[in-house]
This record gives sequence, structure tokens and C-alpha cells, in this order.
Amino acid sequence: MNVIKVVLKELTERKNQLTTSLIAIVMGISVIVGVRSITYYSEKAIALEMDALGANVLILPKGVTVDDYYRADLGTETMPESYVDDILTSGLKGVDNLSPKLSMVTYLGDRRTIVTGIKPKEEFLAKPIWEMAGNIFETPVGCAAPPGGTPPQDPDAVDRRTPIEALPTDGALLGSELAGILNLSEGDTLAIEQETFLITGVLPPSGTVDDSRVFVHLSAVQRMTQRPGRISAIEMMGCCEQISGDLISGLNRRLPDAKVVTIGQIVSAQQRTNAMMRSFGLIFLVIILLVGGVSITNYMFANVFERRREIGILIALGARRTMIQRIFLLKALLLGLVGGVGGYLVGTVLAIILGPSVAGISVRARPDWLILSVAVSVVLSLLASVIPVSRATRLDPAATLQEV
Amino acid sequence: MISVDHLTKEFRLGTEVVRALDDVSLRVERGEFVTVAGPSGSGKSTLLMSIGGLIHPTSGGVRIGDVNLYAQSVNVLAELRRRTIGFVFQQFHLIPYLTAWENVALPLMLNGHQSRCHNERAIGLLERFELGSRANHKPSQLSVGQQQRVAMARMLANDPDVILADEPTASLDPTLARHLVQTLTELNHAGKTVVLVTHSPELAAVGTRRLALHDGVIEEE
Repeated sequence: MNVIKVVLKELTERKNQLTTSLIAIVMGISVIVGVRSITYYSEKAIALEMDALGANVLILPKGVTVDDYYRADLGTETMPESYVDDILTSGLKGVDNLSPKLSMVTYLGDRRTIVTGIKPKEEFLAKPIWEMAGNIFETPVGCAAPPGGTPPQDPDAVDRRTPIEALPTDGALLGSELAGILNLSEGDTLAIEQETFLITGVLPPSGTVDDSRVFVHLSAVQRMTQRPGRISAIEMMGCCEQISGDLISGLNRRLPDAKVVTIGQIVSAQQRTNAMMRSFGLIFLVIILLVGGVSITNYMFANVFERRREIGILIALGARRTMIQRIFLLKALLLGLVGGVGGYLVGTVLAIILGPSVAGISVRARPDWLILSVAVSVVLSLLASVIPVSRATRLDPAATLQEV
Repeated sequence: MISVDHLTKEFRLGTEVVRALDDVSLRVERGEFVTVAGPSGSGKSTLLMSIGGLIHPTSGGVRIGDVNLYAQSVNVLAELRRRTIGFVFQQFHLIPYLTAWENVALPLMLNGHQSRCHNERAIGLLERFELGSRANHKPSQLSVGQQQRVAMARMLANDPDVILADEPTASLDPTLARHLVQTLTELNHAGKTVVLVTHSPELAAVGTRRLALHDGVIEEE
């Protein structure tokens, strides 16, 4: 005989009460997990929308303005491509989705067209010196991303932005508008400055200047403009928190011959959304913790009331108050453990089912939340038990023994 | 051994104050079998619970040996109940989800005995009350008489010096009641001090000393 056996006996022998209590805890935790899952993925969906606004930091040669950049009126001023290495190896936090570019103006027939050289994602991943910066295309931060970011293994993190995965040195991607005007499609060829490129794809309409551009490999533009190792801009996605902090000053220190510009509208929209989502997230978290906590506390109060005769018997037999506390807290612990696992499973399934219909978002299971759910469930169960257990130890044993 | 001095207990029922015990004093020597008779509501159970350290008196005190019960902390009082006092209740008050031997082993567990000792001691006590074959049965699977015997075995688990019995035969038929009285008498002969409260004049007659309680006032008969 020991306390654990007494508690397990009570739990298993009173199946109806065990079921009721587990339902109470599972409901509380499933509400927390379900609502949190939906809000989490809603935040991610909004983060995606924010990121779709494009790069929020531009690194340009000293004499080039943002207006020049958008008009592709870059003149002859360029900067070294090695700046990309400098940024990635700098250890600066908040660098996300880096894209070096070199643009040139050419004529396709009689149409003035901007050709932009870019680096595909596969080259970033293949270059050993950039490994120390991690996989920037899967960096779990981004403006308006939920606090704490997402784990790199989360496939959503990869899908958030869609960098060009692969681009052969003789391949070209066409903006949608330009493809329509030139009547070109995938598989056709395109002659630029005496070189022939195979069109590997037509980009979807973006509503930006990109729709009327041609994208080829960076090395191709460097070759055609005879500017090897030079670039005209680096587009970067910087995390808002770091933009407000050290990122820009850090880049300026690292790249004294470049101009680092934040795109004010995008950054401020991202910052506002980020702050708003954090506030909503916090409010939701407080509400759902309260709902779950009240549900569990309610059960514990009811349980003490139902068991008052046994408490009276135990006190009459000489049980110390600490023994009564141990019995109830152990029970709360066991129920918290089982309820946490059950609540996680139910809440996750509900979120996966209801997420698309209620919030219009796809929700995935977060296995890393299982431990968190169990921890929250156990802590809530124990906290919710404190007052009822305190009452249990103060019960008048004589009254409870006589009333039955 | 048991000394009750000017014990008064009042209960508040709404705006009304009910005096359950009115300046009760009595002394029970070691090895005595004292019965307290009185009609329902006379304060018998309140007196017994007060002697057992379960009801704080409004005034006065209770001593068991040298220990002034209500000057002690709750933990000391709990220890005294574990080691010195055994209760027998009218309704047995067995824990419904524990088997007979687990109910008997419960006071041993509370007293900090090693788990392996529980089995031997509890089974031994159940066999003493001819319940060895029902050790693994729950209270709901036992007859009323068997439940009362399990409660007696549980009461004796920690070998208490003082037995406090509250209407112990009220739920039993005459045959079972006689057996119970016989057991209590044997325990008294073995040296236990017994205080028994009852509304039954026949049962009150089994004690070595008889007291009567009327409206919270005690009288020697």
C-alpha cells in the first residue's frame, strides 16, 4: 500500500468520475491547443502576405538612388559581388532571403527591356562559405512571422517565399507581361546581346516591374556587360526587430562603399502587423489559459466536495494535512499528464479540421507542442488544485463523518 | 488516562447558537470500559469526537495521558490519532474503492510502516475476524456484519490504547451486535480503554462504568 496505489485505485475504480475529470481537462487543453494552432497558422498566413510585399532592405552602390533602382537606371556604378559573402559571414542577425542582382538594358526587337541577373537558390546552398549563415531561404524569421519563428524543418518555412530554385547559365525566365508582348513561352529561345537563352519558365503576374523584365543567371549578365564579380544591387529581407535594432547600422559598418536603404512603407506595415499579431496572440493565450484553468479548477472543486467523506475518514485515521495534499496533488498530476496528451491530440485534430473552414487556413500538427501541452496541463491542474486541496485539508472531519 | 475538563461546545446554526456540550467533565482511567448513553441529539457524538481530537471545543480541554489535545498542532494531533486512538463508527466508513485488506492496511500506511509489513499485518487482522477469505473483496461485496468486522480490523491496525466507538451496533442485527460487543469486551480485557456512546440502554449496560448525557450535560449513573 502506498499513496500512488490509493490514487490509482480511486481513479480506476471510479470510471465515470475518471471519464468526467479527463473530459474536463482534455477540453481545457484542447481549447488551448486548438485555438493556439489556428492563431499560430493565421499569424503565419499573415506573415506570408507581408513577406509577399517583397524585400524590405536594398543595398545599392553609393551613387545610386532607390528611384534609379526601380527604373533600372543603374548607370555604370556597381559594387563587388563579394559583399554577399561579407553579409552572410558577418554573423548579423535578421538577414533573410538575400538576392544579389546585376541589371542591364537591352533591346528585344525595338523594345527597351531590362535584363536582370540573379542567383538561384541552389547556388546559395552549394557554396561552402555561406554555410555558416545557415540556409537563409529557410531562416525561420521574417517580418510579421510569429514570435520565436518556425523550426527549420517546418515545410511552411520553405514555402514562405519562393526563390528561383535553379537556373542554368543559358536559361531565362520571362515576366508575364513581356512574355505576352513577345509571344514567347517556355521552351522557346531568346536572343540577348548575341547570346541565345532557353526560356525555362514564365513568371506569374506580380503587378510589379518584374512583369516586364527578363531574368537570367547573374554570371550571364556579368559576362554580357563585362563586369565579372560585380553586382548592381542586393535585395534582402530583413527581420523587423533587427531592422529596428542593429541590422542596418551593422550592414553600413560592414559595407562602407554601399548604401543600405530600408523600404519604409514595407517595414512599417510589417512592424505594425507584427505588433498587432503579437498583441492578439497574447490576448488569445490569456483567454484560453483562463478558460482551460477555470474548467480544471471547477472539476477539482467538485472532486473535493464528492470526496469529503473519505477526507474525513483519512483525518480520523490520523492522516496529516500533507498526506491529504499529496493524494490530491498526485491525482492532479496524473490527470494533468493524461489530460495533456489527450488535449493535445483532440485540439490538434480539431484545429486541422476546423482551421480551413473557420479561418481559411491550413493547420498542421505541431509535435513539439505535445510537451508544452502536457506541461501546461500539469501546471494548470496543479495550480487549479491548490485552492480545493487547501479547502480539503481544512474540512471539518467530524461534520463530514456525521453528515453521511 | 482520559481527562475531559469543563468541555463546552457550541455550534452556530444561522443566528441561533446550539450548546451541544455544557461544561462536561469526566475522567476515564486506563483499562476502563465507559459507556455514555443518551437520546439522539444529546451531544454523545460531539463528546466522542472531542475526545478523539476531531472537534475543537468552544471552551475547556481534553487530555489523553499527559497530552493536552487542543494545545497541539494539527500534525501532533494527527499522530496521536494514528498511534493512540481507534475509531469505530456506526456506518463503518470504509473506503469504497479499496479492498478489505487495503482498508485495514490504510492506517499502517499513514503510520509510515514499510509496505511489505502492511500485507502480513492486515491479513493477520482479517483472519482474526474470520475474513481471511474476503481480503480481496471491496466493501460493496461484503455483508453488513463483514463490513463492521473489517472496520474493527482497521481500527486495530496500529494497536491503539484507546477505542472510541460511536453507536457501533446501530446498523447491526442483534446477533452481529452481540459479537461486536463481545469483541469490544475482549479488547477491554486485553487492556484497551474503551469509550462507547449509544442511545441503547442495553448496550450501555456492557460498560464497567455508565454515564448518561442529556442536553449536553453529563451525569454519573
